Amino acid sequence: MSMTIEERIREEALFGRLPLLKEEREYSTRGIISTGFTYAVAAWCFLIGGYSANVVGAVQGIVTLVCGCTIGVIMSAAASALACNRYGLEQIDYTKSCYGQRGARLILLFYIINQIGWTGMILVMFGKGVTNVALGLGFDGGENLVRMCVLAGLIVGYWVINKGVHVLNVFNSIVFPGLLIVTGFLYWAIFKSADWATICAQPPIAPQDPGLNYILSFEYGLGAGFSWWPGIGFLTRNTDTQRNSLYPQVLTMGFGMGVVCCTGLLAGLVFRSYDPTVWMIKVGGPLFGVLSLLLVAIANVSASAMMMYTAALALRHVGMFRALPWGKLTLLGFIPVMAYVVTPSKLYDGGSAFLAYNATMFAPISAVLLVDYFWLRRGRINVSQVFEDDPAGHYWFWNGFNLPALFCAFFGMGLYIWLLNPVTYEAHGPVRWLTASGPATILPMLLYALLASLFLVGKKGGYGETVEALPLRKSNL
Amino acid sequence: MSDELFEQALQVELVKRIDAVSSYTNKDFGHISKIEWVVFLLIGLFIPGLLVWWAA
Repeated sequence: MSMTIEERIREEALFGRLPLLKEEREYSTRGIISTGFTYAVAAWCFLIGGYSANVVGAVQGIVTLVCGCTIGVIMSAAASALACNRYGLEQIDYTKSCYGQRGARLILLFYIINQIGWTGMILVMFGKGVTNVALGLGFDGGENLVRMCVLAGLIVGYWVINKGVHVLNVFNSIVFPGLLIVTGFLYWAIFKSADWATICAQPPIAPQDPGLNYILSFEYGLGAGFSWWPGIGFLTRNTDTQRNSLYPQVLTMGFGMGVVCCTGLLAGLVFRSYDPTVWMIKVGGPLFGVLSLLLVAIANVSASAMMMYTAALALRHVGMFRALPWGKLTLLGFIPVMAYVVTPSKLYDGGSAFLAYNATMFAPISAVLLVDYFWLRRGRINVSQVFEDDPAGHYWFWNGFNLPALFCAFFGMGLYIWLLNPVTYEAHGPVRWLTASGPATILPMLLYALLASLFLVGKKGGYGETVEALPLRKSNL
Repeated sequence: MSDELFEQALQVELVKRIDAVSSYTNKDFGHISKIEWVVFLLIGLFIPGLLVWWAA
């Protein structure tokens, strides 16, 4: 049965780009906390904890994961959460006020890389889980079984997002309580296997440079926190107050996620493997281990579908994809993930680099957004100009690009990679004292404040101009 | 229902919604005061930062 215009418009507001009105917001405090935990308690937490177990012990790992996740979420969420909540805007639409109408599409690229990377990672985790279960039953499927599972996960994910969001909600209603039980069970099983003193005495599994291990673990925590940047606007535009757009995210996706990541850390240290698909069977034994893995497998497929859903929505910002039917648009997002079907283990083993790379991408992007929204715009943007594609629009800047903002963001990314290359772990400069994310956040902030005062304020970008709605010349919706 | 009709309705709806959200004030969604920001940043950034420094 085809939908009426009103129904299509309502759907466009909820899952598309129309600003969401106050009376349409669905999340009060309780709603956003439970949704936030549903997102936060995800299978990748076990993997992130495992990466930390590679480089640090229990106490340092707990501190770096919990604090890193919390700080990362605050830095990535503060500007986006408040703006998306106040104006009911989707994340990339809000980003246009800072990076420009076309510049925001460059940011969109990092958004899509984040979604595709995590989707691939957790689908390989799903494949590895199935392979290990099969191995326990006497069948060695090897790399090909992993490939088949990744492909199967992609097909199921594609089916789910084409069936609609309600199917995802059904998945999540099973997955979230299940993962909560698994987390509780894992903590119990870990402390049954070893007491606190024994856990603390465990050395890291595969330490790198002695002066760098602690920083690496902190960067993993920060990377996990910054990884939420693409998802923040999707959630917070649907919250009912400014407080509910910020605090619950810090509590759930920051602190809560950090605590769940510690399961992976402690289990990794005790059972001497960073890979949850290996240690889960050791922790839970043949029955509970396999059950836990199966639940994680379902969670992974569900989470990958959710990420590909938001990635497909984000692709609508690109003019050439805007008119594509939903089925084709979602298919487009799945194509790059096929790399994980071709070389699953190689990409999975490089997961810690991808995790740190999230901080590389989103720390400077968030830093510039913070200065732009709080300092330069005093927490106000002109919503009509977000949808204005005419060169006379406020957010057109230079041919659609806010060059100082983009320069500062890319400068921050380059600085991060120079300080700490997330792939080779090559370190330079004061990274051992200041971390890589710290300078890659602070310096772009200061530089952007300076460049904006020289080239933007009073000249371009609508700084200090009216925030009242102006008539649209050329809509970009 | 043609897609063209939907596109027209979408543009009308966009303008209506822009007007609506542009008129929202601090009272509509609550306002985080300066004191509240200071407390939030102390708990969320300063204390975790201190812990990271301590554990190093």
